[in-house]
Amino acid sequence: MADQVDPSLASLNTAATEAIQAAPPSSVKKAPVPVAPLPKLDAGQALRSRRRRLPPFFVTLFSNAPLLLLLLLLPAAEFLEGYQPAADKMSTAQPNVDETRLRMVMLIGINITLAVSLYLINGVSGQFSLGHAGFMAVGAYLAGYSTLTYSDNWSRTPGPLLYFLSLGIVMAIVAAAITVLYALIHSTRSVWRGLPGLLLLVVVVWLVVDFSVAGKGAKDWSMGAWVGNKWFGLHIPVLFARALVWIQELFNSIMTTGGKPLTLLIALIGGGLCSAAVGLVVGIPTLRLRGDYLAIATLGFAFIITNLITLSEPLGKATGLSVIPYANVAEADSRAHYIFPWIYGTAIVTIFVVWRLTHSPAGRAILATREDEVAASAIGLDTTRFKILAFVVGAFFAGIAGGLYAHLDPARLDPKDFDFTRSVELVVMVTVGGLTNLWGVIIAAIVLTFLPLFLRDPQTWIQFLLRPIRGDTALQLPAWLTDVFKAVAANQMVVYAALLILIMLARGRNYLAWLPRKSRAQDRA
Amino acid sequence: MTTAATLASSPMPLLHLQNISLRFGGLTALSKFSFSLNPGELVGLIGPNGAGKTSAFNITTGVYRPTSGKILLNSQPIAGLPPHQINHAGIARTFQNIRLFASLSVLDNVITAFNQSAEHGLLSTILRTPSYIRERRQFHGDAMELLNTLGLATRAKACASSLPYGDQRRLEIARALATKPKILLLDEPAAGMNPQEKQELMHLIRFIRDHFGVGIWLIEHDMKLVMNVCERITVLDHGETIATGTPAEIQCDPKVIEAYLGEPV
Repeated sequence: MADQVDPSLASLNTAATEAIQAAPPSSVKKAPVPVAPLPKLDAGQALRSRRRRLPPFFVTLFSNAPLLLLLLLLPAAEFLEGYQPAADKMSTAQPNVDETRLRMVMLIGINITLAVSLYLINGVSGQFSLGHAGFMAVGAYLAGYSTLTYSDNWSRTPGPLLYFLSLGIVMAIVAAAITVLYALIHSTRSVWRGLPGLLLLVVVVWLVVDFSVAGKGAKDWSMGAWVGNKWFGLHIPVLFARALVWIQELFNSIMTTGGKPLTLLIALIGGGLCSAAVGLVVGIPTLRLRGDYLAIATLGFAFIITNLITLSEPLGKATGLSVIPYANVAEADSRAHYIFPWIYGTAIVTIFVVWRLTHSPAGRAILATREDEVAASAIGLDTTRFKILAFVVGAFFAGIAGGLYAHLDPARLDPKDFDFTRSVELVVMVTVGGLTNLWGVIIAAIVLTFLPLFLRDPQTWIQFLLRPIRGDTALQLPAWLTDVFKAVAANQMVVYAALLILIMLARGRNYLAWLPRKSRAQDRA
Repeated sequence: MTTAATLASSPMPLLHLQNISLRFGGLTALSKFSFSLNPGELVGLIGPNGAGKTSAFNITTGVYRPTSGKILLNSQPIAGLPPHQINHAGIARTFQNIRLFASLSVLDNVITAFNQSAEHGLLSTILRTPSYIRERRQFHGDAMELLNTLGLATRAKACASSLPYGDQRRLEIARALATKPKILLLDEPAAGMNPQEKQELMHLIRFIRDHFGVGIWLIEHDMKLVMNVCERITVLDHGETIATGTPAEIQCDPKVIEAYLGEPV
């Protein structure tokens, strides 16, 4: 064999043989030569018991104590209530800054909640979702509908509670039916491999045909119309509510005294839970997708939600829900003041929950899934489960923020409030905030909510912001500056976009360097 | 601590791959690959580039589903299970290109691997209930102990990506060991190491086998390391098993030498 070989290859061959044989077999090399002696094994025990540790019970107690600070929000609301906006003194204020200012303060709180919950999905778990407005819409409409229809102007707490209970029962029944259907379809796989796909195709075609028929007005027999108008419009829940009327008797005695706060709490949490359930249903199929594909899928989901709302008669179709409670309570200011602690309480609780979740082993698992999904599953993490966890928790808080939004504006809940641009607005907040930087996201939510309003009328805002220093004396600005402000106000969207581009360019210069170090360590993704 | 000798005498192999084939369209990555690993055994898998070594690992750990064939772990079939369930069953691995969670700390990289045994739910995580605190301390202590065993305890707080190359390899092994496996698959652990680091790695591999009692299956290109460390070696070429045996037998096998240099003209 060797004599046929090209001489250069032959020399290579012998070289390789020598290289392989140069290594002595393992039987020879049994005597260990300690090169780098490994450290003593009992040192770990020493590390473990070096510090005297607080008993876990006290850790729980102390670490949850700051939650009591939430109560401080109530006096803050009191303070706002007593504060009389000096609208008459600000003669130059055009438009009325006080009304805008109040709304802005509320919107900032809601946007913080939304941005932080989206941060959990887009930043921490690294799944690019464009459907956050959809979750917000679910929470807003269900909470708004329940208080509008069943609470009798906050006087009947059991109304919304029963509503959500029966909605939960309906959802559980539907979920059970779907599970049984899935199991049936799955079991047919053993009969014929192609059957599950065929069955699913039949169901999809049927649904598409059905919905298109529903759009043409044949409402009596179409499944789609039934879902859109009856079930989604919550006639069946009413049926359940009748059946469960004895529970109402029970709750009546307990809860009628609860009044407004308890009713609002139930409506918000109910809306949030429904939103989380929707998140679960949306998340299970879509979270298998990655990157752009997931973004498109979640975007599609948001469209479906707004379309369903526009189809649904009880939810007001395209005109939206109107006269949600608070419109009837008092004049505009006190309404806004009342909801202030709710909005900021929610924002704080959201930040608190998201922060704790990210800093727990489960949160580390979510981060690990973002960093490297293959490696995460190789160390035994069910990556789908952790992605869904982040998605559902994010959806829950988005739903609550939506509920707050519904009760903020007395006039009308418009489906157009929850369109594509709202989702994009939130994605921009999270991205500008540094994507994986919680504090950056919060700051971005505040700044980016304020910025458009500021650009609409810079002069009045500057005057307003300087009021604590200057008092109420009118601000004398040079003429050229006034002209600049006018130009800015005239081209506010252009300026806004240009500022966003500048912010993103500045990101490379580490403009968040002054933020807490620990969160910056995660920034390097 | 169970030693290799007592475990190796058990009748049934811990891991058994039977006639595994893997095809991607027309390309056959592995054909009729059979392999077995006894508890506490140290077995090597070598072969030229593209021979199907990593494919064999990927099939075993559930990244790929084999086109045909069976995989038995403790006589239980595991082929086709998702990767995390295969890990729960007792197989852990490292990767050819190091796949650490780069932005997490060294300690967190290991703690993350404990997560599968976590018992606390979402609510107790958020409220930091005493059971959660206890469990987290348990994780923390276990992780420090493991890092200490592998000589990484002093770097516990550092960012994983800031470690030197050899330490990153060791951390990856520590993370795999944190899942308490019965079998550890090492995919080219010596790649990119200098001779000194390779020497340390050799001791580390033996130490892990003896200290943790795991069976180790090793892919490696460095002949010196493989011949020194492994008790048995399988050689793959173009998806086919061309030789199996002790290091001494493999070294003399003409087919192996041929496979490494291509067929004579």
